Amino acid sequence: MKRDVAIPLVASVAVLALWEALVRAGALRASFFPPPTEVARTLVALAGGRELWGHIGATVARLGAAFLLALVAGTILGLAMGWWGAVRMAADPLVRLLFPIPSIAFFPVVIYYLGLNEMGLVITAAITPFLLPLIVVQASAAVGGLDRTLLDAGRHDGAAGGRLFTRVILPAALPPLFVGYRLALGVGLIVTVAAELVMGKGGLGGFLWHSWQILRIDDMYAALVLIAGLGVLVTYGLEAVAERLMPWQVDLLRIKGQR
Amino acid sequence: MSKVQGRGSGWWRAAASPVVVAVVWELAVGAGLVRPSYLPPPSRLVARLTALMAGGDLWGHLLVTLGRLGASFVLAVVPAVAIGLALGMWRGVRLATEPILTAFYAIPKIALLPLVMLILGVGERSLVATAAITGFLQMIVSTMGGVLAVERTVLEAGQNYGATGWRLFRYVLFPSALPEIFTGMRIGLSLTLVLVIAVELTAAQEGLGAFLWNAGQTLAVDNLFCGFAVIGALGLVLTHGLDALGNLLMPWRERTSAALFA
Repeated sequence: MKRDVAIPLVASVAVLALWEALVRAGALRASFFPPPTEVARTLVALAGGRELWGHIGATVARLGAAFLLALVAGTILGLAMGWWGAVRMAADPLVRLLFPIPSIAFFPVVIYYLGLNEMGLVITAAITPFLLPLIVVQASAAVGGLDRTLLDAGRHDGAAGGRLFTRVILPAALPPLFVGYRLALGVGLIVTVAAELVMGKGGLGGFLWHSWQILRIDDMYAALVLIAGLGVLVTYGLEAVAERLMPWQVDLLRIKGQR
Repeated sequence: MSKVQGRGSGWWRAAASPVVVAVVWELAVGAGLVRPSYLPPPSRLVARLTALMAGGDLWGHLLVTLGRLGASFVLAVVPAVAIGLALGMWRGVRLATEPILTAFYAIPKIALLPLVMLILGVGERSLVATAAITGFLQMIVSTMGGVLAVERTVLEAGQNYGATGWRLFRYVLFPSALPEIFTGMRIGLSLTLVLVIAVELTAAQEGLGAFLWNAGQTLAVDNLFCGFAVIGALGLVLTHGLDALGNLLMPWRERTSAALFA
């Protein structure tokens, strides 16, 4: 147990110390690879100003809006596809056709119609997260493959209509949907940052790109650290939420091969 | 287990709704409900795509993109599988690299483009390297997961038959982990394509991503749709093609159907 904490901790400190030492010794150019202490100082200095908070806020708001849009629409369509055969027949081929398309390729098409603005970015960032839960629901056939005995048991105990839905169908469909949400949030962040790089209107991606273009390398590293932090938060944060909501489904939600 | 719904059957079911969408789209433009300069009808797009292909311009972009994709994947796959196997087999190494791996796995790899360009310079090498990092990390994690998922009883059975060291690895561990490794390669290749298109949109003059971006910027709507269609077709072919290949090469694995994640 102690080894599980000690080894990763010592290893990360060793890597950071090695980096610091190599720069101090002059083996790595400080202008290209600012030492960790320098990056930390830049982060602290930036945190004192307002600009950085604006960028963080912009990225989080864009990701949040895209994810929320995808979550609501994806859940409704996913459940409908599972429940009604006709909806499934109509939507499934389209979902399967669109899903393998690299999500960022939607960006130029979307902004052709909506313009190079917030709306275009959010819609682009929402497309794959919208398709993902649908794919996952189909994969595990959450509602469509729901065990008939579960439904019969629910009906036998007097549940019907809305109650059958909220008490039996939704809980059964929730774990696979959550797998979709977790993957979707990760993809949403990738597309959001990529679109910010291209669009260049603020946000952590825009800040990163701008810092690189005017060669403010310290700022670039600071932005990179924050984007990585957001990535870790997004990847492992939803896992923690799922663990709270569905302790019986932890294994399903763990990232494959993490441990 | 009795299901509420059976699986849909017949190819016509899969083709029905896309065909309906295309016909409605064509008719709506034909009837004057939508301006063709706003949403060009499918018939015009097919004609434009044929012309672009005959002219050779689009082929050039396609080849550039395929070249970058191939180079990124080849650069990533061998070291990634080797490292993944090592991490799966040795716990100490796994624990030591876990924090770095976690941080880099979670970061949107496109954000590394400026850093890579700082180190390798602006140009082809940076584009390929950034795309390669994505597949590299994905394949490390999948390979590691594949090794860790090999059941103890399988290993013990191998040992009982006298397999140790290299033989145990070659005949027991590796074949058991292979389906998962292959899945990692398929996801890795799809992610690499996303990154190639993304870096081309951001920082390239040639390639399908650059073609798409330029079409959008010059309001050449026909080219925009054609570029999108070619990129989409590339995504579809890679996903489904590799999946079919996997089923062919590893008859012992459970058949997976494409487009499903993991």
